Amino acid sequence: MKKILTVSILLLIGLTVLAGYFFPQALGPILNLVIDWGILLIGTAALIGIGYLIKSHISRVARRDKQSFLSFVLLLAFSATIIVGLIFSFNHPIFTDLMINVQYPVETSLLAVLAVVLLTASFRLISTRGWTPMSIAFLCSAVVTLGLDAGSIYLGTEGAGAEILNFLRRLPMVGVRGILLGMGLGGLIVGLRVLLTIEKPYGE
Amino acid sequence: MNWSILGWGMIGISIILLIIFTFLFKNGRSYLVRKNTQIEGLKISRIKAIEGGLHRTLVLGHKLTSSSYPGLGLNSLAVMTGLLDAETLVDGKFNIATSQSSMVVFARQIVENSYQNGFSKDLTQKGVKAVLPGPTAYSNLVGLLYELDKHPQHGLILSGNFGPEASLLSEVAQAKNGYVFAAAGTIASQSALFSQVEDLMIGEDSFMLPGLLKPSPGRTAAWMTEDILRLLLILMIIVAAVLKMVGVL
Repeated sequence: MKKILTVSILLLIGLTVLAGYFFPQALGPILNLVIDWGILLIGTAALIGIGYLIKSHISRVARRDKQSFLSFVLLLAFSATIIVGLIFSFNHPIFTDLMINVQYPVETSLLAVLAVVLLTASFRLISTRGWTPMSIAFLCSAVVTLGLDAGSIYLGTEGAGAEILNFLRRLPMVGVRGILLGMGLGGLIVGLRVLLTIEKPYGE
Repeated sequence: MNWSILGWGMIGISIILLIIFTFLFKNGRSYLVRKNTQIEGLKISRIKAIEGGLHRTLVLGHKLTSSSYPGLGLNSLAVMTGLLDAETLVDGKFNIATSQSSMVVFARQIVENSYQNGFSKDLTQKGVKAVLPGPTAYSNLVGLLYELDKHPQHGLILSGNFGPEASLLSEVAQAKNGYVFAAAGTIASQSALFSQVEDLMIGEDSFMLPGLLKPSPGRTAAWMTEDILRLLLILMIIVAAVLKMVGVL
């Protein structure tokens, strides 16, 4: 009974939202209301998720685990951010300074590590994937694109050479669009599967 | 005809095809999907990990929804059900991690339901943990790196919306003799992981993963619908290109 109710609510709300886009005049207010409820529910779920995070770190500190000191630092930083955020607004200079001087440098240093990892991984490409048409195409396209973006190849502004270079410059975008179209189709089908209750990840 | 009508036409066709094929496949018809060697690798690695008592982590990505990649988060939640078999639910070595706090709540709900479907509605599962290592992409990364370092030979499954930082996870897991499978849908993560991960699903193949792990008539119908839509789209692009060349469009 509980599952039938869940499926019925899902189907009703899903089809109402879909119909709302078809008939914006008639179903516009209902659509806004349902979307507002959805945002509210997602927000509440997000708060519960943060609660899980805090709970797990508090229990780690209470158990005096090997890495409990790190959890203690996290809890301290979390509390400080909450307090500063509550006292000042998110746009206050103190709060933005905290973000710019603490969070961004840490993230930037991670990005620096990432750059090195990606560089070494690209050197290992052939040993990981072998000499397959895909890996050769990937390697060639990366080298050609890098060369073009660095401006190391210049064949003038007119003529066949320039046309070929322009074509090569546009080629990665064609690939990106192809993948994005595929992802869009996949996303559409997943959404419809859930909407039509063909897919029920919340329980069979 | 404008783009909006074209879009709604595609949605309408998809709904009709999905419903028709679901009924057809429920009545015993089948559709042979393309052979996927990556999924065989994942299945073998899962068996080895369960038998060897090794830790596994499914990372669900950073976003439930996004305008560039709609459906990726939902798809990663659908992947979960295919991985939550009876052995996994009780062996206590499987974790689900994400950086979006609302997804942790959904993941917990799915795990609880899967457990109660397999065992008893009166029991609460403790074998699979849905965790939030950090509330942002990078803090999540740091939390997961610690876990991968703590448990060598880790089995890592990446499914959902990631950035290029996913390659750091795969690098550490592989350095610790672990196994990595990726169905990370974004272009940035796919290109970053391409040089590292052997078992990588590219493009819309990521959306085939739930059906490959746990086949059902609805999922097979989705494959067939997606293939038909893809053919339609290719035809439309070719026709539009020809019309543009002859000056009609």
